[in-house]
Amino acid sequence: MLSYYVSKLPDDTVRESLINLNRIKQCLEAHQYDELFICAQKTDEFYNAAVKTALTENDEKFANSAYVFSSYTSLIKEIATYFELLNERKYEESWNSLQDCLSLMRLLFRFAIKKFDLNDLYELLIMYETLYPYSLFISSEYTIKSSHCSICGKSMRSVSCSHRRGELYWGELAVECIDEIESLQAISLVENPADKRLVASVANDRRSKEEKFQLLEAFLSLNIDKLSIADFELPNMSCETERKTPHSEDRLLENTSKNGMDHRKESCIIPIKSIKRVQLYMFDV
Amino acid sequence: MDKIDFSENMYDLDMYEDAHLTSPEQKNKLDEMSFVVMPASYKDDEKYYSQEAIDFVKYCREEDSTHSISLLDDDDVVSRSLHSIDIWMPIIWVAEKALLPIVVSLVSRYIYEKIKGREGEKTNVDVEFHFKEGKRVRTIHYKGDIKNLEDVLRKKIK
Repeated sequence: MLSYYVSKLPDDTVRESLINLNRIKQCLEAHQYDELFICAQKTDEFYNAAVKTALTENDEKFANSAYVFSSYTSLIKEIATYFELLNERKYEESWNSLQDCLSLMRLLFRFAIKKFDLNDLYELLIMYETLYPYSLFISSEYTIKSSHCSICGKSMRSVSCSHRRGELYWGELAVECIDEIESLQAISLVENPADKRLVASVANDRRSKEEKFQLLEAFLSLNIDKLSIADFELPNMSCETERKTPHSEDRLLENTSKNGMDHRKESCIIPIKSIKRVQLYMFDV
Repeated sequence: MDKIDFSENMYDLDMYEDAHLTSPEQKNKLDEMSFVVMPASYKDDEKYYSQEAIDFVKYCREEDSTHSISLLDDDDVVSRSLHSIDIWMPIIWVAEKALLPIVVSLVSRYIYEKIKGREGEKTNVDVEFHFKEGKRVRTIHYKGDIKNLEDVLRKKIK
């Protein structure tokens, strides 16, 4: 679909949107997020113009490819949002942003045959995902009594609506909008949920942000460019912690309190084997 | 090897119809359609359509115009949503054994389209086929990794 969109050159909308995406990617590489967000504001404008052209030319594939291209631009923007949250050390919020990136990525993988830089970006996002302390998620089971289609408005509990959830039709994604849940039957704890935003966490978790997200903190403290894919093995330890070896006996004594308990600050070491920076694909316009 | 739950059962046709059908219209559908998507029992007296039931009917109608497919009930059915990454396919009534390879192929293609973009993630599928053998009904239930689905079913339905 992305290739089909690009194949529509020299269409003015396509050309301008590709130039804009190139600029957005340059901003991401230079970590100039303010300018990136300004450029990304034009995404809807390009998408609407492309769909209008597609309708005039009776070309549904072009309309769908405009949706996919718009999602590609949104992905780059969302990655910038994610990096900003990491810079601000807003780790819990950053998890949701990371999942937003991965949702867009899955949509792109589904509809884009030529991947451009998507495989590397996916590898990067998955690397970040491994640094979070989340492994158990909530999955709900419920019965849907009524819902409607985001495209035609008809009941999605009926075959009279011809749209299938998650498919593209004339540049629109068919989504099931749930109107009435008959009953909530169960809440399950699962490792592979449909939505990883639903994290299971322990009530009254009194760990500090530094303790909870120590792997992520340790990785970010290495000051590696955020667009770099690092190859590492996660430290094999309970609670993902490892104690630094004290440099001397004096240091050990210094960190031992009056009651004899060892209160040295726990920290984490991530041994990096290699680093590869993601090369963002620039469109030839 | 990933765990696969595979089971086969035989039921007397009359008992099967008593357990699954509530009206003569439903009996007519089983007699007339190539495939009928059926609700599954939940607890004792509750029946719901699986998450993929309606989309699967729409998919089959788009992809295969030579075979007829319908939901057992009329429109606006109640479905059960299970928000794990796994694919919950419906119970599919198959009019005759000879049609099994066709419906297995449709199920496989539907699932592969559904999980496109998440191929690297381990996903299980749950699907059940029911079909008549003489005066009895045979059921085949598969629950396991998506990648083994077509192979396992093709071997079993030879």
